[in-house]
This record gives sequence, structure tokens and C-alpha cells, in this order.
Amino acid sequence: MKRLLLALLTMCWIAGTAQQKHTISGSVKDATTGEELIGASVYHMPSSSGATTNVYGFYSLSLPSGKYELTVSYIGYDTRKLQVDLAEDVKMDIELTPTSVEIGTAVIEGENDAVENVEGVEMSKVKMSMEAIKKIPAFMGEVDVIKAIQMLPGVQTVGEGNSGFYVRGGAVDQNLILLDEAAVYNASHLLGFFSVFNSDAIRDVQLYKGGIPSRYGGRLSSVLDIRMREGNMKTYCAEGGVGTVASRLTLTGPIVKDKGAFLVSGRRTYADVFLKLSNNEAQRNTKLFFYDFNAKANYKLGENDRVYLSGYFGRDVFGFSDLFRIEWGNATGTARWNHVYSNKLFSNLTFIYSNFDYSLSQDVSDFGFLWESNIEDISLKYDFTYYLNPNNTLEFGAIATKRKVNPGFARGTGENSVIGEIRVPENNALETGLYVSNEHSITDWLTAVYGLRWSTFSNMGQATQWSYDAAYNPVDSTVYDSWDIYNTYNNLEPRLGMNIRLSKNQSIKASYNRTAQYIQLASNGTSSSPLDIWFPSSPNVKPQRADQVALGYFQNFMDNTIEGSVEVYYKKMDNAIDFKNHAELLLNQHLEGELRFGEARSYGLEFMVRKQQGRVSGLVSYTLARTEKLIPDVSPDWYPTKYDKTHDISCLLSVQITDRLTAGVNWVYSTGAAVTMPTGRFEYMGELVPVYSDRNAARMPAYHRGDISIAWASKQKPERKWEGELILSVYNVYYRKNPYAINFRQDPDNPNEAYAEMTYLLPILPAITYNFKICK
Amino acid sequence: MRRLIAFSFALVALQSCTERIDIELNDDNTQRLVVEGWISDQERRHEVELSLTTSYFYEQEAPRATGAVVTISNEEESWTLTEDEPGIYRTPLIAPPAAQWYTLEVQYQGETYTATSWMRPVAPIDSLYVRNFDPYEEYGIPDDPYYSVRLWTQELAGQGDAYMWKTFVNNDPVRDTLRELSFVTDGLYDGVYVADIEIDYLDIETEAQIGDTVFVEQWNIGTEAYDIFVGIMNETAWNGGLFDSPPANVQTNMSNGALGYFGAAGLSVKQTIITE
Repeated sequence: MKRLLLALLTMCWIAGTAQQKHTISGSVKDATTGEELIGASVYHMPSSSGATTNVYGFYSLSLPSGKYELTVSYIGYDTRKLQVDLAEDVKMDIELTPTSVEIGTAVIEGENDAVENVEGVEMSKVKMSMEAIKKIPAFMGEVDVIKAIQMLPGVQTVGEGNSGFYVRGGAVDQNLILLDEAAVYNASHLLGFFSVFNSDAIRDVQLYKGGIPSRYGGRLSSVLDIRMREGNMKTYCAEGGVGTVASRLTLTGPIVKDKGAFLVSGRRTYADVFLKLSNNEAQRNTKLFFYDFNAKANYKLGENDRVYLSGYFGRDVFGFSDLFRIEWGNATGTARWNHVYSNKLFSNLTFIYSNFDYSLSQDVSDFGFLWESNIEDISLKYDFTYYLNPNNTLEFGAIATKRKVNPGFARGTGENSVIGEIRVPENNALETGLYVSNEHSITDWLTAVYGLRWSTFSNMGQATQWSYDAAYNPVDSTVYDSWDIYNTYNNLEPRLGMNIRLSKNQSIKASYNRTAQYIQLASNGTSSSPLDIWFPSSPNVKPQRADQVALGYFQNFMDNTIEGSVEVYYKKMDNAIDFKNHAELLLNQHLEGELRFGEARSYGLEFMVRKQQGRVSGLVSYTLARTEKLIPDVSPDWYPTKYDKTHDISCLLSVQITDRLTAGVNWVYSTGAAVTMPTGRFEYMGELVPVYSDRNAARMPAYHRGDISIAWASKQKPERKWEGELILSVYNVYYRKNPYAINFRQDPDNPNEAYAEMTYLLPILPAITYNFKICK
Repeated sequence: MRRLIAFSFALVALQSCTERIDIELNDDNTQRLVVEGWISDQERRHEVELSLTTSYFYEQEAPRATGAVVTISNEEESWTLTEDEPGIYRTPLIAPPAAQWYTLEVQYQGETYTATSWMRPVAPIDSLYVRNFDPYEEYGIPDDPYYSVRLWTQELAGQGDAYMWKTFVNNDPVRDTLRELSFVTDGLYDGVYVADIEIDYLDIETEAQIGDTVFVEQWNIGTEAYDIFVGIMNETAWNGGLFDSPPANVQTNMSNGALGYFGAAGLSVKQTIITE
């Protein structure tokens, strides 16, 4: 470990030369709101030297003394050219203006939109702006970042309208979903039809499917990094929307002009309001809603310091009268302090809180009960970016997380309840990560990024740890006191990537990464349910580990406005987990006895062409993939996972017809999910019980669906402060009945006969939404 | 509880529609022996039914396995069953003791199949009461009134008990398929005195009326059988939920590749007459 670090550092030092140099540093911002731009490029063309802003919008570029013309660009913004005299170190914050698309005059297409696709060293990474996501016809009019992510190659879904996603053969729980750096443990509202991310509060979304940077850890397959908007440093704005299922309102504005900004944003559904009007008493008494609340504030303390506070709170509630109630939700909080130590060294200290909990309660005479469960993370993270020289950017840092899981506590309530108590003992863990990486421009055609993450995981008290025999039966348990560490794992996770530029618009990239995961979801169904619980690695559950290699060819077309890529990958996963047949995952203190272990592998080819800006934008993606598991105690042979989809196609097109009218279409197709179907039956107490042979040997019919939308914007006039937009969208426009499940049933009229029945969830669903924005 | 959750989610599922479809299955044509048999501590002729597996879309009752030699033994005695009807084998009239291991042995077409089961004792039903129950009045749930079959009993101390209740009106079983019966483990109720709980409900008029005799059997089937019953239900009547676990073969306690379940159970009974 030490030697490797040393080697890394030496490489960087050698790369630096002893010339007299000065540094230009600062941040790149949106000129209208003052928000920092992540991944904006500050570039000196003639010498091919440049820097990209880090995740906090900070850049630093060191060049020999002299006068330079720097090009500053960012997707969706007009490119700016700046004259800089580098006789000494310069501090400069650069503002970029969003590209406006206008009809009549020439359409400006950001000429550097897709540069990153070819020139960036990271591969298997897709960034989506909210602008692009909002163009996708939205389910029930609710713009949804997760649904957008699901259109990308290498990202699969199972089941209609589900917020769960599967990246390159990874399960739902192998995605690290971060909202302002806080892990979100359950991203679903209303059984997954909506995600918890209110589009109005989100700035952009970045998905890493491979080549995962060493600053991220803890999940095997992907990182979905979602950043909330920062508010507006310049003016006060109110924006929102009234939709078919929910309404939204967001307020942004300066705390002190150009020094601090805030954002508060809320969303709530109102199905329950309509249910109250129903004639049916059962419906009138039904409670059914969810809401989200996001808030964020940031303030510049001085030249070199800035603090941020952000939080999210969301909840789903379903109940019937006062008799029955189930609710669940996430709460996250992030406090950050950005500090610039020097014009080359940037730091960020973050305190993170994340909690997911659910409860079920019933209040029926003798059967009153309350059942609660939650998972809570408290983390401290310190990250540094060191702009060593124009050819080397170092990132390093550390994170420690204390995690507490209460897997379930159910007990009778009320005086007469005959229900006793089941308590699955809580468990605690400490997870840490230490990382370093360097992005190194070795020659003008070769860039490499090499890094290492050292992760550790410790089980600690308070906890009750069971041991199991070879047949997975519980043998004995040990109780550990608070903070008593009784089991530790660690993993060295190398992360490598390289970019060979063949020409100005072509490159080849390769990457390798190892990832480790110490917590997983006990979920066994077609969809993940809000009641699924997370369980940690332990003496009985080894950490999952994945190794992935990927190779890709990247090319841009038409002056970098269209990006194209082809990637192949192979991923091998050790200590993969599946569940025994008819596993009991809830309120089971012997949950670990329900687990079965083995390995998994996934390989595939992904193709994507995308155009993000301009009057016509869109995306075509295709994935050819295979994902299999080998869990000897479940099935003797390799079997396809339910999310093994051979073919997966997504097409997305958005056309601005006139300056006020925009139309969007999308179409998705994928091979049917792998499922197990009966090969025979027997009778037992009047039931026709299916007999199965190989796991997941059969296929559901293929899934396909088309959606459309039309957006009609209000007239834009300079003196008009009010901007409005009416959106009509239709989900599943040609009414494809996509089977969600195929069930085999006994004919009630003829108990000796059975038939197959498919369940499909969503018919044609039109929705109408009105969005507005007003700024002072 | 499981069913309650499944039910609530089914309600939430915005609008799910179902449709019969034709589907081609990969039939496995090997016939396997299926056992359905119970022995209890009540005095009666205990019954074991033997049948065979079929293709899934087979359109008739499962073929019976006839001509088998069937014996049941406990730690002291052994009884040979006689085939009264094709595939139905019965013991002599016996009341064997609880708290013993029982072994079933079937010799069929040159193969021997066995299963063992522990007969758990069961507490008596202290009281049985059937009353007219109006869910709207009691809980505010808008539904029609019915006859609520309620009982008082002691749940025996120690985990591992599981109960199944069977109701008879005027000697006829009201429910005869597994999906209609209620069964529950002592997981949440271990050792408690269970008072006035509803174990069945009867439709007024169509299933029962005033003056009818209601007879209830309380079986302590044990958690092994309970898990298998839940397995069967998950693969049949309870499937179709949004969060179904993947289909899997139901467990059996039969050896040698046979299917089904042979169980021994403590059994207590009680009867009453509907008066209101």
C-alpha cells in the first residue's frame, strides 16, 4: 500500500518540470444564478493545457509566465474566450451564460457540448443535465431523473414503471445513489412509480457505470451522483408546477447578493384529496400521498471559504382510516465547508447524515401492532483536489461512516393486544475509505487516471451476532457491547483509466476498477419494496467484490455536437448473494441463515449516439448483455438473473417545432425478464402446486413502450417576468400491455384446471402539467 | 400479517389489470409420487392420499397412486393402512399419543418413500362462540355482517407451534382447500392466552344460520408444516403481488424425490350452536 502510494506520487513529481510558472484559479459559475458549474473546462488551445472544475466548481491551471487566451466552456453554456496576463498568480471567477435557443436568428449550438465524450479520461460515465431530462416525455407529467437514467445503455429495469435500476449486471442495491453526497437508501415513492428526486430541486445527474473514480466507494456497480441546485445569488425566483398527480413549488434567491443563496423546494401528491370526494366509503377513508422537501443554502465567508447546508426530507404515507397505516421515507442532511488552501489546493470537509425508516401500524381491537425499522448513517468526509501542474491533478481524501441498522421491531400496541413482540437486534458498523488518484496527461494524446481506494469495514456493538452450521441453521449467538469491534474486513481497490486520442474527435478509452460493498438489501421480489431491509457484511457474510474491465471507442460528429460511443465490458463479482427458496426476509433475526453465496458475472456491449443541445436533440442507445449467477445452494448451474436482458434499446427524440412548441417522443424495447415457469404440477389440499425445474430458464414476452409529449411555452418578451409552459404527455401511447408478471392460477369454476394469467400495470396514461417561473 | 401487507399493496397498485394468456410450457414428463397425509391424537381412521404429478395444464384430477403398501409407526407401534378407495389409504381406528415421532413409509412400484413428523401436543379449546359480526359497526370497514367464529385457548409455551383451524357446519366441512383455511404460527403469540379471536367467518344464510351446529378442529401442525403451507400458498393463491419472491419448488418432508407432506399434529375439537 505504502509503496504504491509512493510510486504514484513519484510519477506525478517526475511529470512536473521546474519551469517558472504561475497559477490561475477560481471557480466557473452560471452568470444568471451564480451557481458553480461542475466539470467546466478552462483550456489553453495552442498548448493543449487545461483544467476542469472539480465537483465544487473550483479550477486551477498553472502555466509558464506569459499572456494567454483561455477558452472556458461548459455544456449548455456559451463558450467564452478570456485574455489573461499571467505575470503573477491570478485569481479569477468566470461566469458563463446559458445558451439560448432562438428561432429566426441563427440557432446557437454549443460547439463544445460533446468534447468531454472524446477528451475526458473517464469512460462509462454519462452526465445528464436537467434541461435534457426535462425534454423526455414524463410519466404522469413528473420529470424523473431515475427514469432518464434508465434510458442509458447498460442500465436495465425490471417491471413497469420501477425506480430500481440495474447497471451492468449489478443489482438494485449495488448503486450508490448520492444526493448532495448523502447516500439515499430508498429512491422510490409509491412503489417505485416515482423517484424521490424532485426535478425542480436538482441541478444535474452523473452516472458512473465503470471506471468509477477512487473518491467513490461502498457499492459494486455504479454511482449516481445527484446534485441539488444551489439557489440564486442574483435574484429572487419562484417556480413550480401543477400536475396531474403532484404540485411543486421552489423558491430561490440570494441571502446576500453574490455572497450567499438559498433554495427551498417542495412537492406533494394529492390523490388523497380526490379520494375524499369519492362515493365509496372505503376510498374516502384511504390515505395515500407522498411529499418531498428540499432545502439548501450556501454562503461565502470570504475569498477562500464557503459553507453549504443542504437537506432532504420525504415521506410516503398509505393508510386506511385509523385502522392501518404504513409510511416510509428518507431524510438526508449535508453540511460542507469548502476551503481554498492555496491556488492549487482545494479542500472540502463534509458532514453527512442519512436515514431511511418505515413503520407499519394497525389499530384493530386486540390486534393492534406497530412495526418499525430504520437505517442511519453518520459520515465525515474530507476531500482534497491538488492541481499539481497542468498535467497532473491529484485527488485524495478520507471518509468514515458510522452506520446503525434497526432491522425490525414489531410489538403489540394498546391495552388488549394479544400480539407479543419480535425484535430483530440492531447492528452497528464503521466503514472507512481512504483514497488517492491522479489524472495525468502523459502526452498530448495520452491521459491516464490512476488511483487507489482502501476501504475497511468493521462490525461493532451494539449487536447480536449469530453463528450458523453448514446447513444454515442458527447455532449460537453473542451479544457485543456498544463500540466493541468484533469483525473487520478491508479491501484495496485499484481504479485505472486511460484515454488515447486518435484525432480531434476520436479516442479509445480503457478502464479497470475494483469495488467492494459491505451492505446490501434483503430483497427477493420482482420489485424492491419499501419494507426491504439493509443488512451488513458480518462474520457470516463476506463483503461483495467486483472487478470490471471496459474498453471503448468514442467519436464525435458534426463539430462536436453529436457524440457517439461503443463500449464493451466484463465484470466479475465475488461473494455474490442470493436468497434461499421461500426466504423469510422480514422480522427474521436469523436473516443470515436465509442467504446463499456464490459468484456472478456480466458482460456486454453498449452503443450510444446522443445530441444534447439545439432544436433537435435526442439519444439512441443499444445494449447487448448477459448477466448470470452461480449460487450452488440455489441451483447447480449458472442461471440468468431476472435482470438479464439480452437486448435493450432506448430512443429519445425532442424537436423544437416553433419557438413555443416542443414535441418529444421516446420508445424503449427490451428482452423479457428471465423467469421460472412450471414444468409440472401436483395436488395438495385442493391446491394445484407448480413444480419447477431450472431457475429463470423461461422468458417473459418482450417489453416495449412509446411515450409522447408536447410542451407549449408562453411568449417570451423582455419585459415579461412570468414564464409559463403547458405540457401534455401520454405514457404508453399505443397501449402495449406489458406483462409485469405471469401467474399460474387454478380455475375457480373448474378446480382441476389451471391457466396462465398476465398482470399488466399501466394502460395509456395521459397527464397534463403546467410549469411556471417568475423572477424579480 | 403477511397477507395484510400483500393486501394493502395490492390496493395501492394504481390500476393493475389481468388477462388470461396462452403460454407454452416446457413439460417435464416424469411422474413423481405425491403424498398428502395427516395423523392426529384424536381417535379416528387417519388418512393418507397418494397421487402422481402431471403436466401443468393437465385438465383432470391428478391420477391416484394405487396398490402401494403404506405403514405409519411411532416409537412403540406400527399400523398398516388399507386402501379403501383408489389412492386413499386409512389406518385402523386409533388414537395415538402426542409428543412422539411418527414415520410414514410408502412402498410404491419398487421404490420406498419415507417421512417423519413430530406430533406436537395441543391445548384444548376452552370456549367456542359464534356471533353475528358487523364490520362497519365494529371497525368502520364497510362490509356485510357475517358469523364470526371465535375461540378461547392457551397457546403452549415455547416457539415452534403453528395452528390450523377447520370449521364444520352440521358435520360438513365449510372449507376444504388450503387457501380457505387459516393458519398461524406462535411467533408473535408465544405462550399467551388467546381470548376471543376470530378463526373463521361464515356467510349468513349461505353457510350457516341460527340453530346450526358449528364444530371446530384446532390442529397444532408445527412450524415445519406451516412453512410448507406458506410455500404452497406463495406458489398458488397468494402469488401475483408486486413483491413476489421468485417461484421455487415447495419443500417436502418426503424422501426419495416424492412430493407433498406427511404430518403429525395434536388436535383438539369443540362444538357449539349458533344462537344469535
